[in-house]
Amino acid sequence: MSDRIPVAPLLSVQGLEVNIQSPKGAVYAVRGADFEIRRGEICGLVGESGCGKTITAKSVMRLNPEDRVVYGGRITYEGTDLLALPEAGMCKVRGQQIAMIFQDPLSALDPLQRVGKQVAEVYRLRGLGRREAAEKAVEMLADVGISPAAERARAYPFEMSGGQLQRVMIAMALAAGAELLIADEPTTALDVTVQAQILALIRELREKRGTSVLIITHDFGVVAETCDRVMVMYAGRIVETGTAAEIFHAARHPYTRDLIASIPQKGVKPVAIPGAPPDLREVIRGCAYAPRCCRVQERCMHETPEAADGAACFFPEVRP
Amino acid sequence: MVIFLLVRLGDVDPVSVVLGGKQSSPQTIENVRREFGLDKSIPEQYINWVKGLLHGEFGKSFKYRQESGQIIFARLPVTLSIVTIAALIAILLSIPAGILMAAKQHKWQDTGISVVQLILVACPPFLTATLMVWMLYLFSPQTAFTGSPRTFSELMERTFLPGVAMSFVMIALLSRIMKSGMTAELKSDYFLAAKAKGLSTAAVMRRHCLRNAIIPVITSLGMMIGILLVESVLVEEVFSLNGLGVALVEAVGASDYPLVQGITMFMVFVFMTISTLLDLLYGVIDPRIRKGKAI
Repeated sequence: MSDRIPVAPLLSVQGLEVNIQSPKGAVYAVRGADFEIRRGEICGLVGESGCGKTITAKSVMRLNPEDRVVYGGRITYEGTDLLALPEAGMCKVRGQQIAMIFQDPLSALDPLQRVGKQVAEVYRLRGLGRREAAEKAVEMLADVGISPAAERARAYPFEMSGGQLQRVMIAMALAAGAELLIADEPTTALDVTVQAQILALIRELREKRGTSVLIITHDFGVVAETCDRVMVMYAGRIVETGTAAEIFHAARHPYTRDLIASIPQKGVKPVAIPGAPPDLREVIRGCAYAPRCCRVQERCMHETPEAADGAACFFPEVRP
Repeated sequence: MVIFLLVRLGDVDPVSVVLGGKQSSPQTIENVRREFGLDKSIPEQYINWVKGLLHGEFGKSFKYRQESGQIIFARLPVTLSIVTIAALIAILLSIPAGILMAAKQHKWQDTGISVVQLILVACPPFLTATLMVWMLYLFSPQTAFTGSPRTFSELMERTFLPGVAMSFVMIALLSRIMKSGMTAELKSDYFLAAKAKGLSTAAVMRRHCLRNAIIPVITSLGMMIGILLVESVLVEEVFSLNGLGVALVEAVGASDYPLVQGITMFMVFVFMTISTLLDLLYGVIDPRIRKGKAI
């Protein structure tokens, strides 16, 4: 993919900052994240819990509680600055252009409504009649591998398994023809065999519909299985970007290397990263990873490294 | 059973109630005992009473020498109307108020309604009712609001204010429950997911959150209707209306056991019917209950 002619990315995030206001003070959840997603690409966003992955994704959808959140930077989707869009305009972007699926599909569906109706609602929103929307919903459910679709469409969420529900979520997300799917930990709540099926479905969607996907996860297994490109996030910034192979075998940022070393593997003792991630309520001077980094030097403590050649580090590992 | 025994704990001789404490010959007393079945033992009286209940007879009133049922149905419209008016006002006002508070949390709308809630919750029906009567006396003394209404419009006219008086506390409580329910739904995952589909916040609230949030309101509504039935006694008294509540108090005062029993049984029956209807309503709203799955 990387040898293609460069085209304008589908989504471009530049210097994204997200501050969440709370009575106890502001939380600087995202601190200048830069990344882009190209057409037809499956992109992974990995990082520890609380590093700002989900907040970043919700910012793209503008699903954060807007009265308590201050944004900075730009999120450009096909030339439109999403952060400048009014709420009414955002409603047209959501679903029709960018869709999102969530970690726990059972709680992400209305418990009191049949799943078919919830999928059909997306078509109703685009002006289709009740019957037509219902038919389309059944087709869409069949498309994501639910069978018998017509019968299962009449089920309530509590009557379906986690894997089935995640398929319903995907059907709902894609019903309006979104070109970008944001999947926030789509497999975390599912068991392993079902995980593989859902990831296969996501890959299939990319092949069949050309949907771009941003998968947020802390599971490197998911990344290895699905992603073309990976972005590693730490303390609200993207610290390294590369192809899945680069990240796994030739990571340059010390954090990425430590993160991969901490994955439990057969025959290899996992190495825990010492220390804890920084408190996101405080201002961080220098490189956020410096206090835990094995390659830390004087400069890291008071200067923030910019991304260069994939890694935001003054002293990256040199690739052989 | 409990009602039956409790009522009989008093040591007033029923015969003296029937005869109004006049001097009577032993023959008259005997006749009265036979007429009301008091010559039988207490267990037999109980069995007769239950038998009567099964036939829709609540027992013969000592004081009125009439079937309690007739007295109950004569008095019923007033109480029923007050309770219905109170419940309707409370439902119609508290649900939108609760939704508004949840939607505008921490904004002036929320704070404003909170203050109103605090005032309303501190307005017990007997106080509100008394103030209302006083205001009527001051500003509109020609308004007729006491006595037995004869037509439907008269009934509405006379029971509207008592209904309003009783609705105050209920509005405060129900709107608070609605607000907390709605606030919880607005924090749920499905709220975000539905927004991610492209629905506006208002559309998600209307199509998804409302049904979910209203379930606890229905629960408390069932309990509150019981409270309303009890409170109607006070409010009827203040407005001098001939309702069931006043009839009950009078019957207790006059040691008219069959009537006390009859009215109490009837209220229990109404309360149970309403609870059952509300339980059925749960099933309509929530498929998990209908299909027997624990939440």
